[in-house]
Amino acid sequence: MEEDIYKQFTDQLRSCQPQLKAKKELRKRVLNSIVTRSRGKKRLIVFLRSVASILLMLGIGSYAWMELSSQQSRSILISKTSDCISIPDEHWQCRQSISTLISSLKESDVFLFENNKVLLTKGELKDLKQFNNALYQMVVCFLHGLENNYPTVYQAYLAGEEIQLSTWQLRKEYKVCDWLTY
Amino acid sequence: MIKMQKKANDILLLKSIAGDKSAFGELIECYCDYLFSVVFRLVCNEQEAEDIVQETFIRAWQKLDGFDQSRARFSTWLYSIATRLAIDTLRKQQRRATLDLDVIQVETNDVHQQLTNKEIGELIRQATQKLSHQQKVVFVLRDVEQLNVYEVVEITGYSEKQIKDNLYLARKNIRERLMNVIGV
Repeated sequence: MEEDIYKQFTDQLRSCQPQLKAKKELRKRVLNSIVTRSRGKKRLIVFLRSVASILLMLGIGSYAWMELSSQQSRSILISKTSDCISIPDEHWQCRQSISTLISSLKESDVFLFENNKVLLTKGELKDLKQFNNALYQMVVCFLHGLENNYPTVYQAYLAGEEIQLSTWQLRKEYKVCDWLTY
Repeated sequence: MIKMQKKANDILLLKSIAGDKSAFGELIECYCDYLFSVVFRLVCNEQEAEDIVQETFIRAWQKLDGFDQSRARFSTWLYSIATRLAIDTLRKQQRRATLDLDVIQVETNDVHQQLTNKEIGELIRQATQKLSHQQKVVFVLRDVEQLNVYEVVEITGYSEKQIKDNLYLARKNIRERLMNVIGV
């Protein structure tokens, strides 16, 4: 009995086919919607492209403006940077000069030379003036710098104490290159 | 004859994939009746069923590039889109206030009587109003549309066991409801 009722019910549902009344109308509506949505999609793509183009133009514009407006300050900065770069060259030249000075002092045989150091005294400097005036002028120039930058050392020298000079001391202790650069 | 029809539909499908809208229009005419009947039996509302069928064809057109003929039949693919849309509509319907009609007013004994859409909808709605969405979908696809289990798996995405369990519960529920109506 139960089976029959259920079977009758499903049979009836199957036999009663729901009817789509306006087939042509549905087809027309679907195709119209497809066209409309596709147009909407195209419009969206056009809109997005326009927005992207505007953003790109703004980006390029602001970059160009920044480049132009900051050109002066950048050129100043570049010139400063170039100066900084040239300093090592000067230091290198200075090191060369210091080495030449020390070896010239050593070769002059006027001063005592111990452990790669020239022992400079006030009395022996007078002898140097007689033998090598050019070298004497260089040492005087150094002593002048010493007087300005290290007055106590210079006072000690004047008092008759010896000054030990090596390339390392001239560069690192007395910072001769800094006197020359600035 | 059926083979020729299938071949013609395959050609229409290929043309549609290539972007031919008129070929797609032909496909709409071929499949809309059956699609409407499945959807209508699920949602039991003529206007909503028409809207779902329309939306199904629009979505099918939009996703036509991704359709793989070697994996599924076009009809099965369409039914799966339609069934998912119908389930969404059932959920919305459930949220709306529904009238609880306890008596199946349509005469169910006369198998040969041709009913109107409204009467069919009312008949199904009353017989299946206590069913869950899953049970209703499985009942309509398996016992009304008489699709095989594999087709139902493909359309709904449910497992075979889910289909079997839901169908059992749906049959039991409908049978009880019919028994109550005729007073056995």
